[in-house]
Amino acid sequence: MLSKTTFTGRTRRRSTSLRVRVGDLVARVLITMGGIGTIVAVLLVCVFLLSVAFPLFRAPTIGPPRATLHDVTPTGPVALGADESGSVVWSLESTGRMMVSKAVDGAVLAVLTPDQTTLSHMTAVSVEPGTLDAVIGFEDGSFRTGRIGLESTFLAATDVPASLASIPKRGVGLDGDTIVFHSQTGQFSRIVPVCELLEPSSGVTGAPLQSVDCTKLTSGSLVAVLDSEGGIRVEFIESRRNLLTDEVIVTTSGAVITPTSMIPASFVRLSSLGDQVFIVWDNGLAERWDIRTIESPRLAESFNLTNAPTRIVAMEHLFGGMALAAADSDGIVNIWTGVRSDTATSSDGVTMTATKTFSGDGTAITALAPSPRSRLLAVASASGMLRLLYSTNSRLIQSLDTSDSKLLGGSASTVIISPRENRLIAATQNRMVAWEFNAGFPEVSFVSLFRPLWYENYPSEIHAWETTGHESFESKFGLIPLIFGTLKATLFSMLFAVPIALCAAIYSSQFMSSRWKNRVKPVIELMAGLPSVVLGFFAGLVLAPLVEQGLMPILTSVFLVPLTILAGAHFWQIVPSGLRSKWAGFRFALVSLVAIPLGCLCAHTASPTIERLLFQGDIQAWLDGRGGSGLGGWMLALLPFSGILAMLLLERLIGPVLRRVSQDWSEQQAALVLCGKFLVSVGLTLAIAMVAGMFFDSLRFDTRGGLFGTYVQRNALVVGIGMSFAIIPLIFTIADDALSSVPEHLRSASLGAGATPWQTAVRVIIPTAASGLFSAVMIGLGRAVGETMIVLMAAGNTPIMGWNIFNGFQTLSAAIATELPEAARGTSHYRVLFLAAVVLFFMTFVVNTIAEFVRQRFRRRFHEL
Amino acid sequence: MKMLVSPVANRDSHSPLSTPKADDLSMPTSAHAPATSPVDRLAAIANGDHVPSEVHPQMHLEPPVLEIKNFNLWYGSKQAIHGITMNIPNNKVTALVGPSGCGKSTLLRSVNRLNDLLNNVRIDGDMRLNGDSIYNSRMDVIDLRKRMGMVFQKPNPFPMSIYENVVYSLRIDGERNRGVLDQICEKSLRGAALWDEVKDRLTETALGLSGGQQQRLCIARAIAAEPEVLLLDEPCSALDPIATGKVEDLIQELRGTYSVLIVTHNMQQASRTSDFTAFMYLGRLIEYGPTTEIFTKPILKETEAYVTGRFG
Repeated sequence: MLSKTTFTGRTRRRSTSLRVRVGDLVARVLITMGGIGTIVAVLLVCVFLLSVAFPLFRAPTIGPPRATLHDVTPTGPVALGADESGSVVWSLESTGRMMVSKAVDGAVLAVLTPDQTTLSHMTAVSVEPGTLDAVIGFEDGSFRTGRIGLESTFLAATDVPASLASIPKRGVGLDGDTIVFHSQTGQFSRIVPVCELLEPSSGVTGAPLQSVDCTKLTSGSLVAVLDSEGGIRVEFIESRRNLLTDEVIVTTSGAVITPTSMIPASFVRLSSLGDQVFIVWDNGLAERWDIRTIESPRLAESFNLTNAPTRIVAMEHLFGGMALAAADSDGIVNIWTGVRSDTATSSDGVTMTATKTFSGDGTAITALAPSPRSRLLAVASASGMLRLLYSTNSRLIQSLDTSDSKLLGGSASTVIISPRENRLIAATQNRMVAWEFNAGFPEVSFVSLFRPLWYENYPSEIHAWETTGHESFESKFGLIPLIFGTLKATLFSMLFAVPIALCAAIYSSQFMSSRWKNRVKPVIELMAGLPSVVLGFFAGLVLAPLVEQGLMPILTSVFLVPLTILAGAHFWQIVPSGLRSKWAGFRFALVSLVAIPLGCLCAHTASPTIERLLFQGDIQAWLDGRGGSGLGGWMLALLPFSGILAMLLLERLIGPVLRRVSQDWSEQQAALVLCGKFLVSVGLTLAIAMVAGMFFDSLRFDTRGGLFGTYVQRNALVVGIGMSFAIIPLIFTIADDALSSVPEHLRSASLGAGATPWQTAVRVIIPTAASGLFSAVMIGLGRAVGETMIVLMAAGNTPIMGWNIFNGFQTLSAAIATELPEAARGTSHYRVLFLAAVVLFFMTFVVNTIAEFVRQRFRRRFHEL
Repeated sequence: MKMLVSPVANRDSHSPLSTPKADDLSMPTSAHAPATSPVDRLAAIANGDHVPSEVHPQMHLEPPVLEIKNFNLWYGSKQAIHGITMNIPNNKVTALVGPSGCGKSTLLRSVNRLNDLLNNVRIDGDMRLNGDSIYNSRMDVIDLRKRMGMVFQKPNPFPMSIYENVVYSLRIDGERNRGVLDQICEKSLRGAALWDEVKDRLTETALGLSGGQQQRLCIARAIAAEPEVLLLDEPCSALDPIATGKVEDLIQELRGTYSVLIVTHNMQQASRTSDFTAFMYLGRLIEYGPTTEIFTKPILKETEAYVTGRFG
């Protein structure tokens, strides 16, 4: 509607239209929701990670004790056990009677009389925890192997006796002599007491057997027996079923062991691999016999478990069979494990070493029971205390007082942990107490995550991450090797990427013509889009073999290429100035086109000589530590520093003199002198590195074992190079933006004052853009810390600690990526991986926070610009 | 130098200095009858015709520090400076005035070859600094810039301490002697009339100074380099009147010690501070003479019209 009254002929509406207002509101709400949504999403991820990892640190729970009064027997139970579910308990008394009762209330479910069990004259018994494999020793010195315990078989719902169909879940019912268990998942199983023994074998002297042990091997059972006179016999009982006649053929082989001490021993214990037998006297003396050839046992090692007058009162193998728990009369439990060492005096190079000590309350240990599924240990002491210990991280899980008259009313004589670690059962002569318990994740604690631990069979305390192995394997959940690997990956890749990326950014922003820059920058930015799996593939499968083959030329070129570039720059000054000005625009291209290939060529030609001079002609062998002096490694490591030192020295000492003298030289002369100075500084660099190297070498310091060491194909060098491809574009882009955004008037001011472009860059542009450069580096760092695929494929995934640039490592992210799909849900492994994710989250959080903090500080400094 | 001496200004004359070659390049249209009215002359310039400069005879008596010889400059295909020939007298203050876009700053930036930084700049003709050709291919541009000091329109101190700002040119020359640095810093700051204000906070960042102080710091920075010519590119345009007054006083004090070439939009400033004034229009030098003459009895009506504020 045209109106004559206004200048433009249009009357402006003086109020905002509803449409605009609504649009405004919708946009505001959407944007707010998006922003808050992002924050909430990140927080949710964090909360989720924490919620999975947190239960690791939950305290173990232990239910109320259920005490039952046992039938009074002269000796009380000599062996205890539980079925798979832990809800039915059996006990064997020395009279040979076997009782089966409910764990919950002690109600007797079945009784096997001594006649039924045929165990009436037994004197010693050993049942492998969690199994039915048993060996029984008798008064007459004979022993029988077999199966004792409770066997559960799955029961179809239709086969469940009608009277038992209604028993609650986790309940046990009895119908006649049928014991039925109703599981949490609703399945019924029938529980049958078993006591099947083979024919007796004869002992050594005929004296009553005092200690027996057995180990089930794939081809049969290995048994060791000790009688009260000190006679010891090991026997291997091999039962083979004839496929045609179905007849079981039992063959036995064995030998009598005559220990060095004449005093009768107290215990015999077999190793779980069946290769050793431990003979223990109650004064603490122990002998380890090698029984790999069962007919001729050999003494491997004698050692002392305690010092007199302390006596050894119990000794058991921990789960996995690699460690022995020895309990003594002072209430101390020591964990012993075989450590291989070069200085061992034993015949097989292994020394039994006490790696952990659990001190008690000073009263003698009365019972000791290892868990059948973990390195958990139940220990009862004379004061009535019952403790649950975890061997790996030396942790006291729980401590219970059983001396209350409503409970045991004294100290337990027998203790067991049920197969699923859900019940703890302890008994005295006439009482039995069962606790329902949940140990949680006893193997995980702050100590096991972040402190070095003495793992079984290791020579000392180490940080270790090792989570997969056979079922009885000792899991090592130390996160430090992974954190270390993450830092190592970050450090080495930053070492490669940061100088290159920053130099490239300085060049492109300060020296490159904008025409070229407009082409080069998008190409480099495109590199950032390369999928990291491709980079990892490239680094691991293409680069790694190449680097391995051409290690020496590559190492040489790292030093020679910058040297030839510097030489080229100096040589450029000698070129007549007319020609120089004419080609000034191409000087970079010219110098680098000549210098870089020349440097590579020199490196290729010179590397065999250098390898011969410094590394005995074979750097890989040198790295392995096979001969050679440490000089070469020191030269490699010190060259960059000595280069800087030489430059500073020359600049300080000769620079002022040269400036004074050179005032009336021609340009050509000055350039020649400059070239001479450059040559001197190269020589000086080599000399400094050499002298320092010889000095360190003479002090017997060696870089091998530190920065250098045995070459592994997938190593930090390869990762550094590979990861550079991922990081350089990132740092380059941001750094270039930061440098380019320095106000043009500062550059003009500096150039106008007669500074060279390089002086301008170093003195004005870079300090001004420092905050941007810093955030560029930090963003690169963040990427390097979290990067997964490249390290997964090129780092070798060996969680070793050590700065050796030629060795692999495993990062947090790679560990999560490889192991999480294999970790069973809810296990400690699974949760520890989530904890690793939390640590990674925390690390990137810290990096980014520091970055932001520093950036803000810089920005405040320069915000006036 | 002798070559540069042009005959007494004659509104009909060509510049006698134009070599035939330069003539061909820069003056495609032959000179024609002089325009007598301001409108005609300005219209002729706008038309792209060649209009000769009017140079007062006194100008040829002054010993020059900088000789500009038939200087042309193109931004891409657009010509920004058309055959300017003028001498900048030694140890005097010379002002360049003219309406926006007339090429004053471009000419100033051509003196220390800052225009080299731009990609699509092409020049023709030459300048001589104390006899040395600036645009000779043998001339090292870094060495050239060391002989000049430049102060820009907007104060541009470096983001470092006041002290480091002042001694910047010494630092880049590699001077490390603390005594020399301190002495020059103080002298330059005193020269820039800033010493008393900043002597107690030399180590503080220069960005904390006020705009006028920053600009005087930039002048101190420029004079610390002992320049043969001081180039001031509208040094007061971003300053308030008080700061402007101080900078102008400073320029007065520098007169006689330094050769100053100052670009300004402010006629009062030009008349107050300069010894000589050049009036430029659309890339051409229109009239050049002693400031008093330019402002009181200019030869050309156009100049009079401009300096009295009737156009531009």
